[in-house]
Amino acid sequence: MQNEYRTMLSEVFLDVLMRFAFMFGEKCPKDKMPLENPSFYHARVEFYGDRQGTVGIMASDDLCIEMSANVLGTDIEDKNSVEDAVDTLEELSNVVCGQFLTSAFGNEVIFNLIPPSVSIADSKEWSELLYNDESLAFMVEDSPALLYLKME
Amino acid sequence: MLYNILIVDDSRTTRTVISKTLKLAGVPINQLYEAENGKVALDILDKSWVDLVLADINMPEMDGVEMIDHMSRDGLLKTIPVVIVSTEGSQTRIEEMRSKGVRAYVRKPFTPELIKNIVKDILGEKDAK
Repeated sequence: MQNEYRTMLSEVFLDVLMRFAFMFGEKCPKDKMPLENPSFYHARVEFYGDRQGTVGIMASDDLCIEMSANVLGTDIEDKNSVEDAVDTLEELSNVVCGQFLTSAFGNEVIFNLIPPSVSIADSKEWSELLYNDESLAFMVEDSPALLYLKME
Repeated sequence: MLYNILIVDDSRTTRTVISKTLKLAGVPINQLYEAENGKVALDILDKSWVDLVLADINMPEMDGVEMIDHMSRDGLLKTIPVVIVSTEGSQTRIEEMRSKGVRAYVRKPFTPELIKNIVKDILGEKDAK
């Protein structure tokens, strides 16, 4: 069942990415994913209701900045770009989580989402999540991203 | 007629996208207010007249449900149309919101056209009154 949920989450992520940020991504074998990057952002959204858990996205800072510029129609060189990138990743994770819960459990069940949080992750944290069985790997227009679901 | 519109969302990205959508859609705007949660929104509503509220549900400090509860208990605030713009997909929650007077519901991710059409419909009704 967890695998079924992960497949749904993966589909929701790619769909939301396209509709929210106008970006295309695809699943990528983990051994083809880069291990090094100056920094990553890690967004998490916790949910509770019939089930409780966390949806998380870890993405390279370049990807977050590009995504934010796409959504806001700004230039990636803008002075607010890092701040905007964090905010956009938070909102992406929030929308992915909400859409996933409806896909997985239907639209009769009420879930509560705790507003997302974002932290900076280093290459060590990235590698740990990359090789964790719960994570899914993607390349989004040449930039790496990881997605995971933890659910009780 | 020019309108005062309040956008309530903890995501600055979403507030900016909605704000740009309204401006590009040619909605006649006098003042656009922004609030990052329901508490800040109620403070703005306490001080300024607003013609339309676009609000998220999941926000820190005070969420959209609590904000709408406050508005529905106030004789003046309950007359302001509210549109929910949220990732929330529960039909049960949407019905609950509608029973408290919410006029429309937009699910994230939204298209600018959807926001534009709903806002123009609601403001058009206000003009007709």
